[in-house]
This record gives sequence, C-alpha cells and structure tokens, in this order.
Amino acid sequence: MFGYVNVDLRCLSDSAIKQYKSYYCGLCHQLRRQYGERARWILSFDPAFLFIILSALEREQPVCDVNRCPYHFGSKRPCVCGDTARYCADVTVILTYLNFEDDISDDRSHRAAAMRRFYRRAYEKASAAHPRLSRKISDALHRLELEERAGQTNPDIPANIFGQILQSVFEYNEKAGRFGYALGRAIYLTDAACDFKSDLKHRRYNPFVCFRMSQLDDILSNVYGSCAVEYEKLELYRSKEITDNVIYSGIQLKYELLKRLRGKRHDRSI
Amino acid sequence: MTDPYEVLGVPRDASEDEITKAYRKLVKKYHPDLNPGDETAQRKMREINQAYDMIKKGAGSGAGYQGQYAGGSGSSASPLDSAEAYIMSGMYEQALYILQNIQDHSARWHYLSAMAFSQAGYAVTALQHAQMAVRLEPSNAKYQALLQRLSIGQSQYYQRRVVVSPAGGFARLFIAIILARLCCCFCR
Repeated sequence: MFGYVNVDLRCLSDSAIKQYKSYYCGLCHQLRRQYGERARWILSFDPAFLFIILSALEREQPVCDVNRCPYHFGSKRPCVCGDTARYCADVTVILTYLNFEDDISDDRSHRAAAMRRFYRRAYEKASAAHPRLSRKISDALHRLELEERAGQTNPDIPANIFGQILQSVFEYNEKAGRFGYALGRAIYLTDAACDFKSDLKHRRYNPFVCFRMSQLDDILSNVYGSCAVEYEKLELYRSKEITDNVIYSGIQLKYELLKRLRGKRHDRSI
Repeated sequence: MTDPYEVLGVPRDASEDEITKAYRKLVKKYHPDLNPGDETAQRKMREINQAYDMIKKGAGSGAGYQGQYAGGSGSSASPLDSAEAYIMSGMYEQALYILQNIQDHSARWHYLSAMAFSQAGYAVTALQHAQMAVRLEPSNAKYQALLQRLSIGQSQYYQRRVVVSPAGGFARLFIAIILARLCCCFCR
C-alpha cells in the first residue's frame, strides 16, 4: 500500500523542496503531538502527499509554526499545522495500522504482529475520532482480501476496491474524492505490476495473472493517464510544482527503476 | 416475490407491444440520469429491469407471446443489438449480462464489451476489449474512436510528463528512490 507515492527529487526546485519540508515536518510534529513519539516513525511520503493535496485545495493559507526537530540536532523547522494536519495524522495512523493487519493475514508476518500491538492504542484513538472512515477502510480491505484469496483475474475489481479506500480518505475535501479513487487504482496496479514477476515465480496471487509482462506498460500508462485527468480537474491554490512532480513522475519511479533493473539483468545475460 | 406484470403495470394477457411500451414509459420516469442521487428511483429501476427480464425469459414457457430478445426465430433484434441498446441507455449491467452469454467474440462484441466495461468503471478490461476490437477490424473508424477516447488520458499524460520530468540516468534514478524512501530524508 505504501511506498508508491514518491516525489522525484531529480526535478524539484529548492523552494519546492522547502515547501515540501514544511508539510512533512508539520505532519511529523502533529503525529507526535497527538500520538506520541512512536507515531513519527510511521510517517512517509504517502501521507505527506495527502496533507499537501488537501491543504492545496483550501483557499485559506495554511498556518505555519516553528518547532525544533530532535532528529536534526534540535534545529528549528517550519511546520504547517491546523485541522488538515490533525486529520492527516489520524489517517496516517489508521492506514498504517490496518496495513499491518493486512500483512498479518497475508503472510503471518511476526514483525507486522508486533507492530500492530505497538500501535494499537494509537489506532483506537484515531478510529474513535473517525469511526465511519475507519470502518469503511477496514471493510474495503476485507473485501480486497476476499477477492485476492479467490484469485480474482479481473484486475479492475481489486483496483476499484482500493480506489474506494483512497476515495473515502480524500473525501475530507468533497472535490477530491474522484481523484482519490483514480490515485488508489494507480497505486494498487503499480504495486501489482512491480510484484508481478516475483509473485508469478513464488506462485502468489497477482491481479495481472491473466496478462503478460509486455502488456503492463501500456495498462499502467493508461491508468496514470486517468489519474492525471482527475488531478487536472482539481483547483489547487498552492504547491502545484510538488503535486505535478508526484503525479507526472514520482508515482512511476519505483516501476521505472524495476524495469531498468530488469533490462540491465537481461542485457547481462545475453 | 413481486409479480413482474404488476411491477410494469400491465395485465397478464398484455401483448409484446404493450409490455415494451409500459417498460419504456417506466424507464423514462425512473432513469438514473433523470433522477441523480435518488436511491428510490435506482431501486425502482432495478425492479423494472428485473420484471422485464423475467417476462422476456418467461416467453419461451408458453406465457402467450414471444420475447423480443429471445434470439430465436422471428426476433427483430439480435443479442448484440439489445446489448447496444442497453449501453446507450446507460444500463451496463444488463448489457454485460447479455454479452457474457454470447459465444461468438467478434470485433463488435469486443467493441460493445469495451463500452459496457468502461461504463461499469472497469477501465483496464475496457481497454483490452477496445484494443482487440481494433485489432480484429482495423479499418473500423468507430472502434478506433473508442480506443482513442479510452486512451486520451495516456497521450496527454506523456506530453505533460516530458515537461515535468527530465530523462535521467539509471544511477540518478536509483539515488532518487533511495532518498525518497528514507524517513526524514531532507537533511539539507
């Protein structure tokens, strides 16, 4: 689930990076304020991007305070705060916790079980603040698991379920729901494409089981295209350089890297 | 279980024409596009479609008339035509039901499947069918147009991508990924 919404650092200007930091640090600080130090360790690019997009959809300028960062030798950092930060912190905890549960049922991971115990209190607090959202996400993940267990050969079905998860998360702003749905589909199918070869090799479920690797590029580019169409419909008041970067480049980084690695291995074996 | 004739508001000995007229009248009243967000209308629409299907299927068991879309002798519309009609009215579920029962996967079958799956929100499947339709009948302009419409985001995406992202070497890409996934990576 996590790890596909990246920012392409090769082409972000310094001012965009500073802006990005202020959101990343803002979310980090909010997580600590609401859930304690341990909540900082689950932060990643993915929820930071959620924070940036939801803030960018608000007309009012976000409030920024300054805090010291223990992970950067106590240096002062500008941190965006406010209601959106609080919501994103809650969502980060909910999604991370439910992701651990998903990992446990997938491959009985001991690490995931330990992490689940570690974050249980935080999850209970976050889901009490958003009971409907938490229930929707957990139901959708359950449906997703059923489809995967049944070996669903139509990749759209599980992708749409995952899309619904992100749609409910992004519906914090009513204009962002459709974009969330398209992004969810893009993330799910990118994950499936990246895992395709190893899943086939280890006989694990993959949504693209009835497809060939050569078709995946075309399918993914179509999915990114649909995601970009929804993205362009959003009226963003700030951070456009960052969000453009993520949508048009960042989201493909992992898949692109894997393709190039595969290409290099293939060249070497000839 | 509700009586399908009652749902459509026709007597049991109604003719084929009367049933179809009643169905069309109800469709115009409860169509989802005319009643956006209305759950009662959506429920009613499903009931009406089910009733119409039941009466059509019941035609073969001697109910007194021949179903219009039975696909047997004397029917005026082929299954593909009726699937197309459902698609045009936005009733993709009914269209998909008809299409999956057709064994002959012609170019037109793929084309209609693409449209129905696209309406249903199954974009990957729709794209596969559209590509197959064009492959089977490359000269058909309608099929080309559908494929283009389904791929329109794709070409725009790549035009925009060239502006946003430079072509970088493998090493730079690898480093970008590593930095991106490190927690608190902005150490500048």
